[in-house]
Amino acid sequence: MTTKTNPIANFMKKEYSRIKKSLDFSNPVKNKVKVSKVQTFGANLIRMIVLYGLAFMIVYPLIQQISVALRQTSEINDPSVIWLPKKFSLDNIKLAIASLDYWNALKNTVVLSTVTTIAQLISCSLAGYAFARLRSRFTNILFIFVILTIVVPSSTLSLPQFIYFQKIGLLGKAYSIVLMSLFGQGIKSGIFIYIFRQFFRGIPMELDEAAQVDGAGPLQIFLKIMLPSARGAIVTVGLFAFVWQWNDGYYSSLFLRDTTKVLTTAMYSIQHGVHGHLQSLGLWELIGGDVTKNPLFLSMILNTAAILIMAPLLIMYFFVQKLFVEGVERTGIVG
Amino acid sequence: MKSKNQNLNKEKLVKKVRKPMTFKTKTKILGIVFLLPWIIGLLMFFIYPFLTTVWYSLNEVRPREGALQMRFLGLDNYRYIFKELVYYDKTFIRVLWESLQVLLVNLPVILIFSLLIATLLNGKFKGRPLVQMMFFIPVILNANIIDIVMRGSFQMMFSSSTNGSFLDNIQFENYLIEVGIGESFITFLLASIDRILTIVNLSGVQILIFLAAIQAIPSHLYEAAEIEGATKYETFWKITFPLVSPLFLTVIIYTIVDSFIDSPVMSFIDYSRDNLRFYGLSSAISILFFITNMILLLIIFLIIRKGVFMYDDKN
Repeated sequence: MTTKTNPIANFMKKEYSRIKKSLDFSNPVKNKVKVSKVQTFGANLIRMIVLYGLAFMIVYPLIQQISVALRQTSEINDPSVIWLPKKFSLDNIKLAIASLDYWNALKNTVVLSTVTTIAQLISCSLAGYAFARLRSRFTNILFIFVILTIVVPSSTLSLPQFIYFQKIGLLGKAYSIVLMSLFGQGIKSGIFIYIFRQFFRGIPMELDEAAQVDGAGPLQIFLKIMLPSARGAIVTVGLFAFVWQWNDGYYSSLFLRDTTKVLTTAMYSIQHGVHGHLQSLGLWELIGGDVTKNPLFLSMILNTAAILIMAPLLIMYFFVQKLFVEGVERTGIVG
Repeated sequence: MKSKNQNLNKEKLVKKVRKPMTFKTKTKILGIVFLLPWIIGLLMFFIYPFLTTVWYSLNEVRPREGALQMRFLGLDNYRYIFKELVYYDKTFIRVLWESLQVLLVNLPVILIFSLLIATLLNGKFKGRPLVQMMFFIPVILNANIIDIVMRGSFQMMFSSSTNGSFLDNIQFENYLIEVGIGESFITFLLASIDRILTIVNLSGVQILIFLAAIQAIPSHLYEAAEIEGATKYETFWKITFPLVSPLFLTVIIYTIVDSFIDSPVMSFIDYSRDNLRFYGLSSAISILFFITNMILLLIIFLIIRKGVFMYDDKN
């Protein structure tokens, strides 16, 4: 009677009979299949635990940072506030925007990253194609230099580059970085050339030959056949070029100085002087004394600034992440 | 005789009429045209600066009133480095050793870790797109900026304010001691646990490369292995590993190049350049750093080349 009314007991009984039926030890083949099924299940479980755990570890600090950024300053030392702030406040964000000169720096960064990405795409795809398909003894020797540009650390070259740009009067202007990208010597251009070369090498030769028989010249082959089929490589290189330019602090702080502020250099310039910055903006007096006395207040502003710098990229990433992974898979960096 | 002459004349005539360029010459010309911007860039932004750095390293260079004052020293800068910074003071050798040590410890860990994760990410499981997305977040995060934020008391507040550190090391350590594992092993274990996050953050691109490599392996190889009754373990070592191994070099080079950026030597060079204004000396240090890295890469290349299985040479 009870078994009928109690759904849990009912379920257990059903499961038990099912398992009993499935554990038919008299049939060795079935038995083996069962065992291998259990094994795969176990392997999958371990895999999921490892992957989910590590993924959690990656995202955890980020969520922490965002949670701290949304707090009121008075809640910094409040042990009862763990994840969700008691009172959502945008004060931190407003102060960080003011001290970074955020909108201006964001505009500069977006423009600079977009322009250098296009420049890198043009120069690196041309060079990569030449190294892959328009080969001669000459290009084979030159390819050694591509590897060298990847391997030589940037600090070995930066001083003469700096003096050079000073001489031709491009120091402090974004043109310096754009110029370098346009001539295939931008941030990690060597790697991009390598990616394009590998990709173009992976396209079957028969395609060229067919086009050649139809009377196409090498330039036409490049424009009409190779470029359209290089979508994967273009997407990958474009995304990486954009992200690396966005995050670059080395070249930006060296060549752009203080005249053209991008997000990273803005961050570097406020890292030791948020206080002075807010004072010069006239905001310091507006914040209550009990808040500004808190030694963690400035770090909190810095933290919010960091979130603000990474936020546009993160948001962009959520939309294009499929391209990110698939692009690389199709590029044949692998070949 | 006559007819032969006529023939010659004919040939001359044919030569005079301009032949259209052959496909081969067109290709050669186009190759040069395509490479031209890159060659100009190479000369302007790579070879010229590199040679200048070499030249600076042989001089005493001081910026004075907007111009550079040079005094030829020969190898004195290098001698100074070896005498003062290597022999007496040991700053340089310590900094260099530190950065090499980090690299040598991290490199194998990153290599193994990224290959493992790529293998795990490759199969089908629930929530794969989500996990994959999370794993590549470190690729787009700016480690420098996070470093700036996480300093001193803020970091302490940070971990305490949000639920404490989620892995309590001391408790874990006590547990391990109770279980009876050797102390040196415990320190090693804890150090690697502490570094997991660093490793995860450093190996985004590497995982991406390995994942791409694994997915490029033709599936019929796996099917054949399955029919032959190979276990997953055997398939990994007999198929996946050898086919992915050519990429080890790519990944190693990428990892080493990536480690330049936050190498202590780099900041040492930048410091002596920007703050002390010893341009000559900092150039000499950077040349030495470059040479050490090249030697390291060469050694790794020679080791790897023998062990790598080449599927086919696409030449």
